[in-house]
Amino acid sequence: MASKIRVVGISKHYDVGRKAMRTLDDVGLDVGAGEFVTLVGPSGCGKSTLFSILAGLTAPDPGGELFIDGKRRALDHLLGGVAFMPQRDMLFPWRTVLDNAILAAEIDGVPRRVARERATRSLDRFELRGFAAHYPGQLSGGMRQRVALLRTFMFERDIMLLDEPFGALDALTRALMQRWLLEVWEANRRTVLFITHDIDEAIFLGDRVVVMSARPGRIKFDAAVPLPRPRSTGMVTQPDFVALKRQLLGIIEEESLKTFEAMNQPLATDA
Amino acid sequence: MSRSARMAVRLWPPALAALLVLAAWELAVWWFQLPDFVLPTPQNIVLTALQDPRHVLDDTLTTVAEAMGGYLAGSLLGLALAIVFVVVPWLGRAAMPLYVTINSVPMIAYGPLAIIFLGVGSASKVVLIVVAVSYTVLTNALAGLRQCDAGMISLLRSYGASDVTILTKLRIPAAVPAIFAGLRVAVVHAMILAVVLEMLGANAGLGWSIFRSTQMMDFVQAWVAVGASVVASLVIYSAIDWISRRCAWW
Amino acid sequence: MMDRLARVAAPAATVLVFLLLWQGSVDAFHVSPDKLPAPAAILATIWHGRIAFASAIGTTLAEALIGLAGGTLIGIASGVLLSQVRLLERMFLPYLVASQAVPIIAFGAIIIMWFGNGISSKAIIAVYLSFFPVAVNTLAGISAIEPSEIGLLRSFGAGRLAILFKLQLPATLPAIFTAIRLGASLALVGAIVGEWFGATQGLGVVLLTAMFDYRVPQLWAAIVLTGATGTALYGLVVLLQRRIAWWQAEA
Repeated sequence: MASKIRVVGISKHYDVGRKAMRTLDDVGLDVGAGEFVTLVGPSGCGKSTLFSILAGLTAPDPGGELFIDGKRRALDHLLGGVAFMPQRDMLFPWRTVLDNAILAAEIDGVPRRVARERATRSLDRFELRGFAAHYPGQLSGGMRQRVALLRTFMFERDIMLLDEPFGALDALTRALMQRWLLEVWEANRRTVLFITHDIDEAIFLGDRVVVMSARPGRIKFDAAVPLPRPRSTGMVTQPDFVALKRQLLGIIEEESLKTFEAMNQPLATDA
Repeated sequence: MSRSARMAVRLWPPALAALLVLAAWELAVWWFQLPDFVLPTPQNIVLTALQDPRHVLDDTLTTVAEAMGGYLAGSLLGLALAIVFVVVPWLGRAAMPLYVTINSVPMIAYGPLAIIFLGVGSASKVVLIVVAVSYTVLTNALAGLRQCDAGMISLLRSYGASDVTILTKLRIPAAVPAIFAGLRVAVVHAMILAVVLEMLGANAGLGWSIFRSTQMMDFVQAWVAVGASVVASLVIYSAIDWISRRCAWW
Repeated sequence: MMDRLARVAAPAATVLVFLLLWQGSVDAFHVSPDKLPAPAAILATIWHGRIAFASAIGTTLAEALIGLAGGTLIGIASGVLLSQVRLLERMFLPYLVASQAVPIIAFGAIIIMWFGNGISSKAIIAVYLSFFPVAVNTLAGISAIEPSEIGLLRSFGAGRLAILFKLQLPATLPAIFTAIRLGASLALVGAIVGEWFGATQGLGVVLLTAMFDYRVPQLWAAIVLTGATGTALYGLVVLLQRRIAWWQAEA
């Protein structure tokens, strides 16, 4: 499989007063084209920071490198390169569902009429039929996430970064959304990086699961998910699933403990 | 419960309150035998107004024209300045302290100065109203434009949006509620300033009418003018409020 | 402390530069002081009239402060009353709110007519001007308290008065102070406008006489002093707020 994203030696620190807080430490990752990679790790391990760097919103420390499709990319020219979906849905309250969906495409230069037509055709698939003229304030949490996802999908980029899109949803809605997301993704198989806190979700959705350590974030574990596609809900109780889950639980527990202990210490270390 | 029934439930207590106050008022005047120059009855006030409606209407028109003229010009000025200060921050940092200092003085205190230089006509009122309104609209609009959700800005940047795009597609729409909050407050200032400045010196208008009436001991007329200014302000405020709810429904 | 100083320094410098430019242009273009006096001339006028000005400020300030204090107390009492008797709230709140959209200062003419030219009539204007925002905010603040918090105190056996003084009033203090800040400006304006209707002393009188006498430097002096008085009054309220309701961040 061709390499889509290759991250080499990315580090990031923030200055807190006179001390430096390391959020990412020498992170390396290789994602193939069309792969669905899930990223798990304890709070504060830098997952969102990594996404921020890949989206071009934050510059990493000097020394890191990024290759997209095998070509090295300048880290300060990445804006507009990936379809990024942050944790909060960020829907504009003054725009209708349809206009929110076309926001990214609109900025990308797609004429509004064309974008609106495309979005309208996708409404069914995103289970938003009949809500095109509604406003975000009238929607449930799950629906808002679907609008945000539609917006992200309409930004035609090969790479998608999804930061805990289902985090704020209740367990039942989340399960439905997971199955639905896989269906939508199967349609054109873009390369997806997906952050989650939920180990079940990570295994269920991903071709690969990557675990990040507690701060400073490093790649601690990276393994393929030995389950066939299409995924079905029955798989969550199968031996392969459970074995991987047990493995991941152990690692994450270890890392979470470190985070917990670190919380009782001063925030930063000397640079 | 039907819509009109719900409205009735909400409206009967204030209606009752109004009735009680008006009744108490009439009663007090009758019981204490209060002469007109102390307290005319509500009836008296309304009848006097109706006797010569053109008088009151002309004055009302003058005052409202001054207020709305200054309000429109001031609002446009305030909005324009807000956008300029957001796009050219150093200009904002240079000009705002001055603007704040000027407006730290109650606008009415500039009244005498305006009258000396611009005369007793509408110009002196409109100029001060423009300054006061533009300040209120400017500060509210600036706050709205600056308070933009950082996450939304990042999102647009991740789509490759330019600063101008972020301004037009995000900052300005997001600031609309704050802008209208400023517009609502400012319209009240405009009416108050118009009336008060007329009391200081004018040829026409409700404030001038109030002042003149008290000087000439025609107290019922003063009450008429006061009543008219209250009614006119309520109407104007309701209109602005209605507009702001249509434009900033979220 | 240091960066508070820094934050004030830049705007203060801007104003200073502006004042210097003003002074410079007046001198350079030989502008008559009757058109536009230079800042130095204004300061000189203030200094020369300092005793009279001080007395005027004293009068107006007294009117405003007495009125503000009265309006605040009556406002809080009314707000509390309306919060306790739901019917009263439903009857009168719409009027309280509507009053803030309307030039109730116009009633000042009638107040002066009733109560004469002394300090008390202006104080009364200041009372009713500051009353409305304080009453509305007191009521709003009390209404905003979570019923679960009241329930908690009730579960400890607290009666109405205890709940009022231990929870409702303290929780509403920040909102009340916001209203008092507004009331301070309103009270000062009310006092000055009241003086325009009939008074022998005060900043309003100074402004009025300067206007009739066409004394522009005197007028500017009065403007500056009015601004200073208003700022001082506002600052006083802010200081009080910091001491009494310190737990709320600055609005």
